[in-house]
Amino acid sequence: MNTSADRRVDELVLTVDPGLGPLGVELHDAVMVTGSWLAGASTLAAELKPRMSGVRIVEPEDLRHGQAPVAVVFVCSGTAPLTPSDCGLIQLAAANTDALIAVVSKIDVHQSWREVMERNREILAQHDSRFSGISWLGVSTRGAAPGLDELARAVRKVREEPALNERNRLRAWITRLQGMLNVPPEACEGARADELRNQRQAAVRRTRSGKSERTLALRNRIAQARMTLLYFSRKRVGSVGGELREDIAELKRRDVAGFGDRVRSRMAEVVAEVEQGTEEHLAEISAEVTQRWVAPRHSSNRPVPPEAGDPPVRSRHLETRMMALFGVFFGLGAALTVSRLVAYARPGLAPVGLAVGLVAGAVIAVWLVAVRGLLHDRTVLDRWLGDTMGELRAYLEQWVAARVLEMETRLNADLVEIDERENDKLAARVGQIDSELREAAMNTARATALRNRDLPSVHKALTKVAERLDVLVGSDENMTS
Amino acid sequence: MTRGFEVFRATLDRFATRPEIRQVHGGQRIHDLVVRAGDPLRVAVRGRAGVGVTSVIGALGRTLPAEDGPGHALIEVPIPEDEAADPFVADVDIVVFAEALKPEDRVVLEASTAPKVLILNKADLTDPGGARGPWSAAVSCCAQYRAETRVPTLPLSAHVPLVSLDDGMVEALKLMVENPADTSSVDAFVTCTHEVPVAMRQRILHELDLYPMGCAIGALRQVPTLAAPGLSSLLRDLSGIDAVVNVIRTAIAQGWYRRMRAVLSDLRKIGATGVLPMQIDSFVNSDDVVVAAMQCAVDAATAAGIAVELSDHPEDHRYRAEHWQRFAAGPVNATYAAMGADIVRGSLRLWRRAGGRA
Repeated sequence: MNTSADRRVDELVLTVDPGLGPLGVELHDAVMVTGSWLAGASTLAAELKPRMSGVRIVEPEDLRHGQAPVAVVFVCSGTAPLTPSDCGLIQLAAANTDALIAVVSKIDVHQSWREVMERNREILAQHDSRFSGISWLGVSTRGAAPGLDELARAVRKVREEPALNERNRLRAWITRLQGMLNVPPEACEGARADELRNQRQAAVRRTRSGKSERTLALRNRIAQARMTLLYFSRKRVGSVGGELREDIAELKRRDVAGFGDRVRSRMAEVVAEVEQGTEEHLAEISAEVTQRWVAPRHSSNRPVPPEAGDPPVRSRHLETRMMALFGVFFGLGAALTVSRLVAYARPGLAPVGLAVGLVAGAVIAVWLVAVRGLLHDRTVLDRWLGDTMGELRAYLEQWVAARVLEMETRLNADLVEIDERENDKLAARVGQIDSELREAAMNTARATALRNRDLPSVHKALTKVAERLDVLVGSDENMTS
Repeated sequence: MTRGFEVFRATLDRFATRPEIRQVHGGQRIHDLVVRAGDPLRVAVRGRAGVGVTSVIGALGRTLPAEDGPGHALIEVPIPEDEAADPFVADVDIVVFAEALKPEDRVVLEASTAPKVLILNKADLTDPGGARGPWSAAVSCCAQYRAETRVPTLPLSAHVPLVSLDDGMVEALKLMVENPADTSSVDAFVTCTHEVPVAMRQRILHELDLYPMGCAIGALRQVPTLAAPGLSSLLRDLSGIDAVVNVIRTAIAQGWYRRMRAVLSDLRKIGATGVLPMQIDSFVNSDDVVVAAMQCAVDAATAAGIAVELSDHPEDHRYRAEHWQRFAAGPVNATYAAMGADIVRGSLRLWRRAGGRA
């Protein structure tokens, strides 16, 4: 619908500044019924339709964006007077339409609807002076539907008013021009700039917190690893020592010589195990702390099983001699006893008894000496084993501590490198954001300058439109009066 | 005032009258705090103009009398508030609305941190002409708002408990039983021709409104001998005021509990600024205060419909502590979690006092 009247209105504005158009609102030949929530707008629209043949009654959802009805019926409930939010709704509904009829609904159940209506009239007039002259009606959709026919008559009358389209179009222009005035200068750019600033802040914060998080994680994990690994090596040495000690308790005489080698091979095994465990654990920590930024490197510090000399089982001459003496006397005693016993029981067999006694004495002497020697060896081996294991433990503890320290040093260096890289990335991102911000600021400045240039023309157009509208409304009122 | 808060206040008074508090510099602050703790609880009844805040206050004043001593004070606060004045901070907020919750009401609900109750007033006018009747409509509407705002929402016809029925009105209602008047609208009811005089009809309409009047006529049709007092109490039962009062009692008990918490935290603040820190600390952690706090929490929990087992056996104290520990750790809001924690602390103190050993 683009009549000559519309063109006349548009020219009124466009002569001031052609850059202000186009209006972007299309007048739709329909009456819109809307209202506050639960006020009964839909019911009213449904009831109004059969009474208003030839007129299209729509609800807000039936209109597309940019379509404006020729008249608006706003329904508010008779329960309580209007609130500021309701006034806002009315303003929104009648933004592009000058013809407004306000309706108080449910008058069949609310005794005080007349007071509410008077109060509403005052509140709405106070809210916006353009609403001071509008007509208010009380309506019910139930029973005899009092007021509904009056409403239909009022809508018809409004539709028949001369220059209605022109007035509506002028109202749409006023809304649009006022909107242009009220837009804050950096409304669109400001949001973008805020977003950029937030992003920048977030990036800086993320980098900073990442750095301190990594440092903290390193410190924690290294302390934990030191604990775990020392405990592990100590436990490993302890358990191997226990095993070997059990072996000693059951050691045969012929195994004594090879025992030193066995201990050495077990020590080598333990050292290898501890090394493997330590390296695995440290590699895990390294991967975790650096988040696999740095490839694992192997250390040159490899553990060497400590030199362990042979157990000192041979140097026992004095003791051997003493034991031999003991054995000889013991054997002698045994031989004598046996021979005396035999001679006493069977005096005839005395020489045989002597011989048997001598043999028995000799055997006892030899066995005693041998067993004593073995026991002595076992004691010596036990002591030696204790010393060796102590040495191994000290060595492994030292090695683990040194290895963890080395790892810590290296990871610290890695972290510095990672921080450098992160900082580079951050600098690049911040630089990018800054340049975008500068651009946004320049755009804002340009837009503001443009707007300031346009401002006088918008004001001028607004004044013109408002004057024209006043003239039209004034003539309308004269006609009705 | 709840029983628990009375105990708490007595303990607090004993503390405030100690000689060292009179003498120390800054003791006046403690004294002021103790005096303020005994102020009546401020119950703000908030609502937009025209939703019936005044009649809600009238109905509540009649059915929820303030107890002896500092009870609660119902204070009318309009929505939106005067922008010049400071926003009124209440201990309990009752928000009254009619028909629909407007954005202004929602703002108030969100701004308030006190225990809240939402009242749908003029419930007898909800969805007029609907097939299910206004009261069912109001109840389902309240359920929706309750789910949406997470605030207890109840329907009410606040003017009904305020009705003073006399024999003349009952006679007029009895006449309408036999010969129904035109109740299609309020105007038709007054202007139609009927044997009941117009002045009386206006009075009935003004005091009762159509739906409660219909209820009264229905009751008289069933029991024609019903007199004015019986009819009044029947209408009062139908007005929903009892449910509303129950919910408000819960909120008030919570309000007292929160007052107790606020007093203790203020006292700690005073101690932290260097006024008798040791004395305040030992007082706040003394058995008497911890047990009084527990009693306040028990009152609030009981008012909210959560039964608290209160036997004196040592094992029961321990059992109660365990139970409420689980309660406080469960999915409850901060106030209930604090209530649970207070009950646990108090129970453990009582347990120890009764000779319990871990």
